Amino acid sequence: MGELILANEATGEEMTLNMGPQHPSTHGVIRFIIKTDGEIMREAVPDVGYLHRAIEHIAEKCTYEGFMPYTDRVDYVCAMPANHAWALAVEKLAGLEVPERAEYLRVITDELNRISSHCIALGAMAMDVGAITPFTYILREREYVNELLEMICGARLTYNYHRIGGVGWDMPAGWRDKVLAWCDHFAPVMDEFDRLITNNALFVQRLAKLAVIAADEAIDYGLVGPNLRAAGVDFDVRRDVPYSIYPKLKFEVPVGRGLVGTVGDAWDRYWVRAQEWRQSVSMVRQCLAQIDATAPEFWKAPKKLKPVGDAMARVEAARGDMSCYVVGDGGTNAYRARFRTGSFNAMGIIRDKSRGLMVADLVALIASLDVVAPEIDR
Amino acid sequence: MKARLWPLLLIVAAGCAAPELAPIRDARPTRLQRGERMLVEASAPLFDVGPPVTVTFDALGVTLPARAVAPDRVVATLDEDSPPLAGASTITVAQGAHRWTSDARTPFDVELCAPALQHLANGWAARLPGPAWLWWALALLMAAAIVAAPLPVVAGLIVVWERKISGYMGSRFGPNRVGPNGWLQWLADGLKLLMKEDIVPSAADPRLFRAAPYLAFLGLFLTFIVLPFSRYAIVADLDVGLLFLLSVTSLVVVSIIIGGWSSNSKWALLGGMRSAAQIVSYELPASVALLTIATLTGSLSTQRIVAAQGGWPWQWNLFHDPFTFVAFFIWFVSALAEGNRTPFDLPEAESELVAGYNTEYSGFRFSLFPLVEWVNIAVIGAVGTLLFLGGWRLPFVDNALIDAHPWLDACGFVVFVAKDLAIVFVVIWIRWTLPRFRVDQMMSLCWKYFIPFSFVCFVGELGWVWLMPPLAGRIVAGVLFAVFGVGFGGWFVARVRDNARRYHDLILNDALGRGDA
Repeated sequence: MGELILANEATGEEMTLNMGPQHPSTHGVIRFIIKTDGEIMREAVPDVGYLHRAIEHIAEKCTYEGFMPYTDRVDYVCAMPANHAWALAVEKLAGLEVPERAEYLRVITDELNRISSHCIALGAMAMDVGAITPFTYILREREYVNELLEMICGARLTYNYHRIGGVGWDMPAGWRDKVLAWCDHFAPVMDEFDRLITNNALFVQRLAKLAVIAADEAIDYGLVGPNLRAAGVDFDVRRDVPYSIYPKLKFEVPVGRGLVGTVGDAWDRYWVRAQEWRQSVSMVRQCLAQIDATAPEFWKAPKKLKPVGDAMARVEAARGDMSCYVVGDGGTNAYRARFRTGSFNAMGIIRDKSRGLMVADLVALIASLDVVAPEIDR
Repeated sequence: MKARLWPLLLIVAAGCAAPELAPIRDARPTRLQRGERMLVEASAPLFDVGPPVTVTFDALGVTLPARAVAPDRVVATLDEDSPPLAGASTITVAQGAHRWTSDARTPFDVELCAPALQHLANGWAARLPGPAWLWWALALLMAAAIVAAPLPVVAGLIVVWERKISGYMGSRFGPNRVGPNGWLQWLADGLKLLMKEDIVPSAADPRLFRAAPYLAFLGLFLTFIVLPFSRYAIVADLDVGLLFLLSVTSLVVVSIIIGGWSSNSKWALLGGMRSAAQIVSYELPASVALLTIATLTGSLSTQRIVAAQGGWPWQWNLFHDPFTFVAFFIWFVSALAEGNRTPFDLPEAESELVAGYNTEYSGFRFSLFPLVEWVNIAVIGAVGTLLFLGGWRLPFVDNALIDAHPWLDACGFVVFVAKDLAIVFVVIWIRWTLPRFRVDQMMSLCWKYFIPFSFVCFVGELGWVWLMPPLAGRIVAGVLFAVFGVGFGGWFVARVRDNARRYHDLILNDALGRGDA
């Protein structure tokens, strides 16, 4: 990266800007090296690796069960699906059956966490284009979700709730009603958020037709999740590679439609997430309606876990397809573990899409891809 | 239908009932010195050129010989041996058997500051040793300190207010620890900044870097000279008040460029350049919008612009005619842009440029930039109040009444501050609601929309003042504003009621079993 800065300076006409790793709107410690001509960027080169904690190596050093808290740190904004991915991979490896109630609890917590993660994503996107109130406003909703999750697992950010073979605890008494009350409350809030910011003329003007990612480009760059769907590719792991009890739930997969500009623009990436809120709320409602019919067992696993072989599990996290690959060699630790996360691939497309944008648009582009620093580096 | 119509009729009736302007108007300098000539203008050709004319100051009992230089212009000269004339008065122009009296609303401007300073400095010079210019300088410094002292307080209180408003808007509390309900937070913040180290980056241009904050402060400070907070509370009622206001606020942009460039930081440079482009561009529509008012009033003096309006809303320049109404919004948005406020806060866009032009500043020098920014909001409010919202004028109160009862002047001050704060509130409200423009969008808004529309307003206002008979103008404007007000008000009320209906229960504490907040 140092040589890149020097190489850019030599031309004289262009200015090299170092954005990050401590820049306020890079969503964590991410660094960009920007070549600009005044306000217009020639290129923005992402420099990742500032938040690398060798999580995958840690997986080799502690037991399968003991690694579960570390998966929270893979993506701390949306920790439940990472829990889920690890549990799913190890269960596949060991051939374990999970009690049905645990599957429901996993999906409920996954979806609640997806809602809270999208709260951050959409609020931060609004804040990065200059509107601060929507961020604090939607963070209040995230607080409610955090509180619901705290009631069920005792933590607000790093949950450590899923277990290999089930979940840590059953839901507490009265929790169901509280979640339903919150779902009723959240419906008008989503509408109000749309009125406050989604359809705000200035906001649309900033994001429409910005950094358009076409469907084939999105596939080429390996984008996943909302970023992929915003580009018009109708793919969702929950529906197309079903896991857990998702086949029993009715939900739609929102796909970018280019309502205010082109399919795959930054506003579409925003809009798809806003639509996923609604789907997630509906899924939580369905799960809560069905969960009473299940047996009370929520965890079933053998005392000793020494699987052999390899397994791969895919879950739909808030930032898209999170794959977890695990190899067991018959010991209590994994021989190798690997997480494939959405943010890392999203970083790859920034260099290509940043050409010709303005400096202010780079911030909107990063925010619209919803990259989270720990998920990039792990 | 009947229920919808009556406010419309009321507004039209009020517009028609508003008092007519007097036939003559004195266009004197603020203070009539000996040997100086004064001009009296008439709204129509009233005078015969040739026959002698007299001008009488009704309250002072002074009569001057005068001469009609044109059918609508009379010039009178103050004798060499007469004392300077000051004090409130209407004037009466007499020619033959005809007599015309000026409007009591037109002020004979009062000046307190300059004579008081002169008195003070002369007194010191007479009693104390040392050269007279030294005592003059001391008196001027003292006056400047008196004007400058409230600025940090104003800025601080607005900062706290803004943080409280933003807190309530964003479902937070805002500052509530320091002092009663958090209202002394500004003091704590200011003291903290004063005690911080003053860092000058080694690669910066130290002289310019150090000078920039003071320039910014100077630009804002000078505007307070011409702001009329009440009939008496004005430092100097310059005849070129508006022009002065526009020119000194431009100092702020100079300081921002100097600060951004001399920091030798790329982010600061980008912020400074954005600011230069933005403020210079938006000064055009803002100035042309202000010209609309200057056209209407026929004066650039701030006190005269206030005096030409009345205490009731329908006597304000804002509701004078459609052109001033549009000019107000053009001016207001341009003022937001000049003050670097959202949606035009690009020079300090914290999510893009870290902190913009003041990234490298620390300590006291840094504190001057926010101080200027928030004082600037108060200045925006004050300028809007005096130009468009009737300034300190009170209903039923004319200048003679204020001179007789000084407490009415205090009421005028309160009214002015209340209107100022109303505009400040709107500015804050906008900041905490809207996203930010991008540079190119901001520029196209200015050059493609605001500048043409501001010229349309200016030319339209010229036509209105020139061609429209006063009564017809009132009726047309009254009908237009009534229709607009009923339509817009109806839409607004409907929207608020809809919101209230849909979102009555946004706080979930009971359902989640949370105790506080």
